[in-house]
Amino acid sequence: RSKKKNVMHDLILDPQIRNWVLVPIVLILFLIAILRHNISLFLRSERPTPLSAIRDRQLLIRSTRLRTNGSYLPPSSASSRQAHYLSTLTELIETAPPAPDALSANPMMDPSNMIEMMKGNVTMVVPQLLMMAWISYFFSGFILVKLPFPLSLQFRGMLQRGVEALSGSLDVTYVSTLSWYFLTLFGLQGINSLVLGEGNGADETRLMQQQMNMQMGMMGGGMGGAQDMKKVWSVEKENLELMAGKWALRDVERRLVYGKKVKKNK
Amino acid sequence: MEAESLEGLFKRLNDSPDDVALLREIFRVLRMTSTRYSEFVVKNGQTIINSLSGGWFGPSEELWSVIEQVFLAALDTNQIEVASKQLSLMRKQFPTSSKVDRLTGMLKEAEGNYDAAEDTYNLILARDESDSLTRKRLICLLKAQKKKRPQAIEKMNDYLKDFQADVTAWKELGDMYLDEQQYRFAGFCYEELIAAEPLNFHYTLRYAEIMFTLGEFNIARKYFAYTLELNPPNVRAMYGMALASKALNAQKGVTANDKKENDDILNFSITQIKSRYNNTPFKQTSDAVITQLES
Repeated sequence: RSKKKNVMHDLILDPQIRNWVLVPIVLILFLIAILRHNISLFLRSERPTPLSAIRDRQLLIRSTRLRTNGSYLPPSSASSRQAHYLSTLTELIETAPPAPDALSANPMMDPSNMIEMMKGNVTMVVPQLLMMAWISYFFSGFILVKLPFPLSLQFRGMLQRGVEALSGSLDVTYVSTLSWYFLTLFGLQGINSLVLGEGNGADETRLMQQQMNMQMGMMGGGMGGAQDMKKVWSVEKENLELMAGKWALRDVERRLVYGKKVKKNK
Repeated sequence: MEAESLEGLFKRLNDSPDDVALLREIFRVLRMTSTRYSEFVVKNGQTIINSLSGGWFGPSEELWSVIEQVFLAALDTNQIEVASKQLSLMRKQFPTSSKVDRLTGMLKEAEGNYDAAEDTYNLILARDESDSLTRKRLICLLKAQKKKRPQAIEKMNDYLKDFQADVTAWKELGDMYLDEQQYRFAGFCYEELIAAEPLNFHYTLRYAEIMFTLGEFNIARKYFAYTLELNPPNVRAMYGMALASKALNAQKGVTANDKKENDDILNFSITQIKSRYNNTPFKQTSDAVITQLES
């Protein structure tokens, strides 16, 4: 082989590394995922949704339906419904409790939210932190695996934490234990969902999405509080007012009988 | 997984009637499509329950779905002992479940014990007022007792005040109004259905017929035509369009232009009907009807 590129010699990794680090980490992560799933089942609270929240949500669904498909109803029916929803929405907006000032709307203070957040934290973040600390402590300072897919140079700092000494000459695809930890963490999602079923309690990606939503909710001023609903209703009301009054079926018989040439009757 | 239809599965079952895995698959498809095929389910239910009860990790999750399925089928075929047996199994496994409570209520309904069933349902609702399935069972209770139809309608309206986006509830209410011949209200319900599923020709056809019954021939004909657009071979819609056109022609104050248009539409519908029945054994009947239409 006479390839004209920088031939970096392949490292030969001690097979003991495979036996004592690679495989155990995968197994441990998997078992911890199962453990987290079971614990989350225990901690799941059984809070039924209040009827008023359901009522509001359903009104929005029905109003959206009218906006989207109202053109398929006879115009008189569509407009009478439109009027009805508008008046209901107006009433809801006016009778909603006045806006609480910024501090008291802080979801961190809300007792019911606190419990949810705590549960989320305990089951997810704490084990993660523990695992990372444990791995960094025990398994640092050596190369673990050579990844089978190519990586660009930017990843080197992240993936070769702890072995910088050699990284000057080392392929980026050789990575440290910590990066293997992250890889398996996300990779095991697939196996987790096979074994534990969809929506399992150990699903990292879903939790991270939830956390993002929570942060956005916090920025938007109150999670699901009355303030939020008011905004939602106002938006719906505006959209509803803009609803077009066209009847999709106005020329349907002519379309059928006379074909595509629709007589432009006023 | 949806590729195999029930027909195909049953054909295979004919060939190999002892194939338990095939039976399980059929049960699963029946559950998923909410198909009511109760005699079959009760007859073969025990086989599947037996096959699912053993195993390495104990009974599988599917076991309880099947038990519930057999329970409901047994209620359908009035095999109360079978149903009771399944219910006690479920009760033992899930002692605090509100679903089991609701199923208990259904068993009492099947036995005709409506008051006890109502008490059971009210207890469930006291714990969780947002339980829509239980509220619907209260409505079914009233519907099953012949003289209480108006109360059922009232309860359904109350339900819809809270759950106004529930499409199946609107359908049920619409049909109840139709039974009571309250066509305006039925029309309102069907409008909800059309708003929810505007491309569903079953709803548009029914709505057209309701409008026709109310004498709103213009609107009726539009919806008959729309039904034909959605479902070209729909003969009811063709007849509907023809009849509506005739009715419009017979109205007072119909202009010459309108009359021409009505006649065009009438002839169009008749042509459609003729071509639809052309090579069928019913041609004679349809021809007789068409002569009536053309007169």
